[in-house]
Amino acid sequence: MSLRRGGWLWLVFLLLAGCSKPTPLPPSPDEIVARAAARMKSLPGFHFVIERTGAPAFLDYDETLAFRRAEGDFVTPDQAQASVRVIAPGLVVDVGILSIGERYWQTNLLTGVWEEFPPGTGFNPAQMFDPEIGFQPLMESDLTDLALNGVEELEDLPGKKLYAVAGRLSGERLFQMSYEMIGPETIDVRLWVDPQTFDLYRVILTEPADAEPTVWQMDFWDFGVVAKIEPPQ
Amino acid sequence: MNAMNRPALIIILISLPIFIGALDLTVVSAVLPHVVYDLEIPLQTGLDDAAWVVSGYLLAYTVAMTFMGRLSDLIGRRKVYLLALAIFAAGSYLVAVADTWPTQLALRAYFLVASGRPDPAYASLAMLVAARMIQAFGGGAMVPVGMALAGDLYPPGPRARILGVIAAVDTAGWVVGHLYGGILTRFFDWRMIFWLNLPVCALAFGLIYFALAKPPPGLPHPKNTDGGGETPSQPPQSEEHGWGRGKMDWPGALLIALSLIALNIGLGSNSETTYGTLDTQKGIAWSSYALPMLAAAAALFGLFIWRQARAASPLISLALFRRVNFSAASLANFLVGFSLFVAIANVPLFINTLVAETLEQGAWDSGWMLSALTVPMALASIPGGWMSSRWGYRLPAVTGVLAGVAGFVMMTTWRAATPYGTMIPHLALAGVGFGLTMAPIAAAVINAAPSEYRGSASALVIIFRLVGMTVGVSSMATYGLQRADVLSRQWLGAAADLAETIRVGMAVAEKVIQETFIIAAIVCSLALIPVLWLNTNSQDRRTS
Repeated sequence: MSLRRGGWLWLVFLLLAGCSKPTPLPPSPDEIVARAAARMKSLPGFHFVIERTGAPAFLDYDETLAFRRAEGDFVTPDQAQASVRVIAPGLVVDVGILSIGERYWQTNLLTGVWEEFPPGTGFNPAQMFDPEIGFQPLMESDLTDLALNGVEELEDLPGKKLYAVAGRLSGERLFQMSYEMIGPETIDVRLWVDPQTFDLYRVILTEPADAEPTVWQMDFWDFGVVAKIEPPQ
Repeated sequence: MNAMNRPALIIILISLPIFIGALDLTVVSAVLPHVVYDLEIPLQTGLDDAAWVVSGYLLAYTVAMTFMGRLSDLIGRRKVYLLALAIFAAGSYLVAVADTWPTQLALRAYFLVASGRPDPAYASLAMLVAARMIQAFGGGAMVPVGMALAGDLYPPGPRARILGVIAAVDTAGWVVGHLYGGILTRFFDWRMIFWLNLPVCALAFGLIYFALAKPPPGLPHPKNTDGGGETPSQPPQSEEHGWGRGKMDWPGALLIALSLIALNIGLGSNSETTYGTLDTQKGIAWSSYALPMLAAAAALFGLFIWRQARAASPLISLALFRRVNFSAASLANFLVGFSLFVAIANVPLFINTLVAETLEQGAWDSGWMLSALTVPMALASIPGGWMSSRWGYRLPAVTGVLAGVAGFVMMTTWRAATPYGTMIPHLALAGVGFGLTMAPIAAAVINAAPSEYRGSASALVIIFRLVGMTVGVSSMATYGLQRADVLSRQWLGAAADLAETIRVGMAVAEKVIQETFIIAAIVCSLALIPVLWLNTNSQDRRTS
């Protein structure tokens, strides 16, 4: 009796398996990256966190002010605001930065009051995520040796399956747009992309090093959200 | 050998963890700049949150003291003491590893319920504060349970002396905590302070477990020490002990705990409004929830008083406060605690900000310099006790308060270039002043209490000083950060360069710390009012 029922179930399973649609093959890694770059360029805005771990990356030539992390919002095409954490000897400070077009402000270390500076004074996420010359077009042009590592789930995004892509990035242009902190050598890159929307959730850049490498992690969320960025009062 | 036949041995055993618990109360005052830097907490916006590493410990320590002694009356000294010791050890471990797996665990829990990525530095700080509060709860609980155990072990005659010893051990712990922290961080990572607690706690746990295995002679009730598995053969022989009788006043414990928490949040919240948002014309700004929190603290405290007046087994007997000496000495203790902690917190701040060139040097120098305050304080408590037994409480207490005020007034003259040799006499004068007040205030409180309330009165001596310290650290952190923000904006020119910014920052720090010393002098001088109310009758003089 049980054998007969088991045989029927097996037959039903085979029939269902035969009738179901074939699993679509994932797109090629080049296509994933191209679609992620296009998607990012089309977004009116997003939230980002950039974190540096490993060997320090400095914001000044004297190598006293090390970049630790930046969190903020980017609004297409040329607006950004962020809080940048800087580590100086014996001191950790947060500096606010705000950029609208050609205008650029930073907060005073002591008072927190906004002060305007000439463009190019400091690290500027608006330059880094510029849809024309920033990280998004760089993904389309400067990424090589791409490989799809499968579908992965990030620890801080439980339940979300993402394409994991690895590759190499020529660091020269990134060096210019990152206030000379990332690059200019070729960098190992890993990206995590949403299979449905092609939103880029995470990028990890590992710089080549003899000893401890500098590792940059960029996280993105609030895709399409336009933060209100206004000149400081 | 039954350790219960050697009560002095028991007192030594229980005093060691009490000492370490108190040590950890002030141990971070010297190493806090190191911790803040290590966890990558930004100076401008994170300092008020980092203050919770100190005030959170003070708060939990005080809250535990209010009711854990009473709990031990009901379920047994040994059980509660060992539980408190285990909590303290667990808290010490969690402090040492706060920025590793506890932070990872907290972040994972966060990711399950929310999106985005919280700042890992603040996540680590939150875990550190939580761990410090766990540690403090255990450390604070050991003090009243230890005192109650002394009450069980000693007859009324020598009991006050033994209670004084435990109170002195507790005071000695937080008096040398900063020095201990400064020395250890000179050679090791700051986490070593907390790792070292673990073997000591493990040893103390084992020894106390066996030492309290049998109840004290003449007190066979198992709830006294809950050891030995003996069944009660007879009811308690002394009404004075009262263990096992009555019920724990949990609503009262909850009300006083919530009141203290609300008070701390209310007093500490204003600093959150400062950086980058303060209107210099308006002066001190209030956050939206500061006043509601302070109102809630007052309301909860009112409810606590109402509850204590009606509860069959109150945590604190309100009748004690009808005695002038008890109330006056308690108020004086609160005010002295407030001003004392201004010195304990701001001397390291002054040295770290204005004098020391490295964090290690800052921790080391702060530890030694604070000894110029605390060692004379400990030494002066001896003549303070002698004077109060010979001439009454008032003379040493008034002399001590005046010396404390004079010390703070001298500290207001400190500049960044002031040599340590000049600072030391100022600190020593204030220390002598505090030391002279300690013994008469404690004696006035304990001797004003009838013998059956001597245990809770002894705990109240420490509680009032700790509440004063807690209020002091919260309110002075708020005041200091807000004043620093106002002065920075007034003194810093537009688009100043980095060198000018640092110069102004140091000048602001110097000015603000001077102002907090002035406030401490004023608060300390207010203590003159209650100490002038102290009177000494012949009975008090005999027992003090």
